[in-house]
Amino acid sequence: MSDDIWILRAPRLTANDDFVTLTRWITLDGSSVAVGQPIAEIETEKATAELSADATGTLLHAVPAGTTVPIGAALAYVGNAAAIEAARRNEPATRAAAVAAPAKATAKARALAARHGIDLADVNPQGDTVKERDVARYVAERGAADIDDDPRRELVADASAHQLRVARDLRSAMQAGIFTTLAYRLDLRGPERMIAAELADGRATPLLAVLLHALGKTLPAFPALRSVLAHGKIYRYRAIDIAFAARSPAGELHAPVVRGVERLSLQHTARECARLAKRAMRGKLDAKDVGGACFTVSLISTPNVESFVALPTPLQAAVLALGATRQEVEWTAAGAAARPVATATVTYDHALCDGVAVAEFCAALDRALNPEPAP
Amino acid sequence: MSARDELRLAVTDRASALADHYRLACGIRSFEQLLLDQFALGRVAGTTHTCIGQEIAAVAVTAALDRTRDCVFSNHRGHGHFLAYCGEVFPLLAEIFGRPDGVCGGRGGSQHLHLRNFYSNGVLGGSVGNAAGVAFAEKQRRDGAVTCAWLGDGSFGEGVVYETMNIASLWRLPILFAVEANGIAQTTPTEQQLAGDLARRCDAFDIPVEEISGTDVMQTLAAAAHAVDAVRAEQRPRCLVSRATRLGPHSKGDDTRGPAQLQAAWASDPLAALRRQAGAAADAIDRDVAALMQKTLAAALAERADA
Amino acid sequence: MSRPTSVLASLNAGLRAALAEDARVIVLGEDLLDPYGGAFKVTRGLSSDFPGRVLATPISEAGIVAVATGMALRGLRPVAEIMFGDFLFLAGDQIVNHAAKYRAMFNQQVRVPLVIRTPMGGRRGYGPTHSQSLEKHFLGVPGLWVAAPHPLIDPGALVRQAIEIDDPVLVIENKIGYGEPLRDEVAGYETVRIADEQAPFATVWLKPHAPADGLLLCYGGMTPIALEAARHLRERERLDLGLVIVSQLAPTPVSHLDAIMAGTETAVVVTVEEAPPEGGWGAEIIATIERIRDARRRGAIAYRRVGAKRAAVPSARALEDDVLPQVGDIAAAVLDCF
Repeated sequence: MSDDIWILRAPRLTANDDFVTLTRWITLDGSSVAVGQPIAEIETEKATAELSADATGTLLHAVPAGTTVPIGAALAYVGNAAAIEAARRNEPATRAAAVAAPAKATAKARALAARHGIDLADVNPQGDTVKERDVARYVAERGAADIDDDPRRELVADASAHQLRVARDLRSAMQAGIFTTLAYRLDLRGPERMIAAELADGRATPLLAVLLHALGKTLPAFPALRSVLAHGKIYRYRAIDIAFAARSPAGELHAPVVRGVERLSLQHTARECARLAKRAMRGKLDAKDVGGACFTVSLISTPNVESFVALPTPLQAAVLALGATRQEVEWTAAGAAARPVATATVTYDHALCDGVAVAEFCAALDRALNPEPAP
Repeated sequence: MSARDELRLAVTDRASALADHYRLACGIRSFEQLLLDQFALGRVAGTTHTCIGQEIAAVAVTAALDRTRDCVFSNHRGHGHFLAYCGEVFPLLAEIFGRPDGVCGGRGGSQHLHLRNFYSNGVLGGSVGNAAGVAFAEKQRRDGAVTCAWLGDGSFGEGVVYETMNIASLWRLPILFAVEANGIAQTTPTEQQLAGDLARRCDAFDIPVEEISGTDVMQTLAAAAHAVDAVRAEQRPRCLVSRATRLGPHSKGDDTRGPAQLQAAWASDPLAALRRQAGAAADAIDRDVAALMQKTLAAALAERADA
Repeated sequence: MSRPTSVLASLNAGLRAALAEDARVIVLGEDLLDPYGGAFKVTRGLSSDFPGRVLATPISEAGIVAVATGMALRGLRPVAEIMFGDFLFLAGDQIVNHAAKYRAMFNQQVRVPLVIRTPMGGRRGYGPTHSQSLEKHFLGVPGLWVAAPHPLIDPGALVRQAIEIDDPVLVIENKIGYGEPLRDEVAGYETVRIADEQAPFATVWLKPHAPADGLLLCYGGMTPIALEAARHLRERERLDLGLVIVSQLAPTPVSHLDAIMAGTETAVVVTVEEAPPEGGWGAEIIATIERIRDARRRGAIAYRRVGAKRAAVPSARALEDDVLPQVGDIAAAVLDCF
């Protein structure tokens, strides 16, 4: 039996249609066909036709019914089975090129969508075809209209270099990791006692310092929260340097770093916090005051702020955000008692550690903040 | 304004004397020659087609018509037909000069004239068909009017002429095809233009045709009268073919005939023969006509004094 | 007598009424006599009832129009039929150089009240020389009116209007359109009819009840197709189009278009014609509307012309369908503006 195979290719039916849809197989896949026997029905926008076999042999379908292919693409093969398999392997990727029929959208709709980076598939048309007004409506609803064109907004000023740098850093951090947040209610009785004790000795100690000191005790046991995932590798910070958010009167955000927190006493930590905060206020932080931290904390102590979620910093696994201290009533066997608490949220890179680990970290931090009182 | 009213030639009819026919024909000749002079002097723009040498048929055939009801359709070479019909020299010259007091307000020019029942159109052959339509309308009116359609031998190249003859004969329309066979169409001699015989074409349409020399006014008038009367009485078309020689160019400067040929033609100028027939009155007529032309020219060149 | 219900019946009735009421009317053309009554039957019954005033002619388009022109010069009101609009050029010289010119070149001393009727259009598989829409070549001839009846006006009344005009009028009928049923209105639209002294042949403006997203302009045989396209666009694309169906093709009915533009805020104008649009009616309409838009200081308008491909109309139906404009072509052109 001859090894010749005959390929049925999508013919051009009309001058203007470059694609053809195979609407229906008349003859089943794998069946025997003879010359002149109808095997498929095809359709374009303006014409339909029935295609017949030009050879005798076994019919093998190249595409399923309903597929739209470009003119010239193979629709079927007729020949002996072995030869057909060989031909199919050699056939260029026209099968893969069986493109979907062009999405029904007008040229103006496509142009507007392209300008706004919109996928037309997301746009709900009024009617069969996506029109420019459908895209415009979608854009307006998303609020992503051309910034300059909209009279509802006025140009105020150029963004400062600092703002742009912060925005860039935050954006890159968000894109580098897969961040999610866990909220934990921290017991602040311990910190309050510590602060009271320090005050009794004449030293004003901010809650921030107490928190940093406790983190210095906790973080060593949680290496994942001191790591970075980059280029498929895990890097771990050698030192426990922790950044804290400081906001200048002008509203600029800075993140000065307290270095080697685990080696510092509470007093030393407090002194460092004060020193760095003062420099930040004056805009006088220098290179060694910033960068290279393995962890960040941020506090908002405005009353009634229950909690907030901080944005991660580049090259850090997690950031802890502490809300305002509030009084909470606890029922004990002895009756109702009020105690100070605050909600800490930890926003962490889930690629490095999971929620259970972060919960354990928070519990450990809570214990570090509230050590058992000396008997 | 009253002076211009006098700037006309007296038209002739079947009862006119030879001298009167001569005056009219001479007037046509003088007009045409004056026109060519004016073009040469650059006083007129555009184009014109003079009928020098063909005045006899124009005068004679028109004299056979009944001007109270008969209609005339002419072609691009229609000044002779127009003047023979109405004698309005000043309005014609004014029209060619583009003046608003011309026959058609300067809008038609040399080839597109209309006055009373006279019409002309410069597209060859088409006006013959219009003439047949006019004949139909007049036939419906039952007023016995005859329509005279002028055409040259060159017109027999146009298909619409044959369509018209066919319809005119079929519908028995009272139309006279007055053919001026001058042997030339623009620069092409008839023998290079028409196959077969011109007059025999009428036989094919069952249209009675008479061929005459066209050089003698009385002979031509008699033949024309006979044809016109027959058309009027029988209410069917007739054809009258008169031979003549175009002595001037087709329009201006486009005469491709050799000097010997032209000289021979001028030697047998029928107007000269008619002049001799007019006898002693000829000299006075020549002077009158010349004076008329001069006054007309002066009037046509004058500023428009009145609207 | 019951009111005619089709374009054909209306034309026949209009000619009948004209013959009956005006002794000057003569109808002439090829094969008009009963029982045949004309190639498309427009003159059926007339030769029997008006002997001597309905004339069968030889096959001489130039001769027919020439003779009719002569008749008109002498005060008759001839209505000449050219059997297929494709043959109009055979009479072209008579139309352009004789009938349309006599009044002006004879300095208003004569009138030529001539009507020439002829059917244009394809979609019957008649082939390249029997399926054309050649009226566009007669637009803009000074002295010549061009008018086209359609199912939303009274075609018989249009022909009578043409007969009443003292100048030559070319009446463009449509071969397929003869069978169209007449309608006074279309569901879903308010019907506005506009006619005035400058443009006596009425324009029909179908205003959708919702504010129009755009205007579709057409004439004659394309009217049913334009209506279908408008329906499709309303149902499938939620686009509401106003339809303007013109019956005066030349001179351009500027006053009608101005009135329509005054009454609508459209930013999309699509013209529809069966001929290839190049150098044609749609171009003239768009130029006119753009001039009006500019004069009224209105915002930009998106324009499209829909017409046949620039090709001879093929004989095979499938090939003919590909060349001549269809509902889908109108829809695509409209959508392209959105």
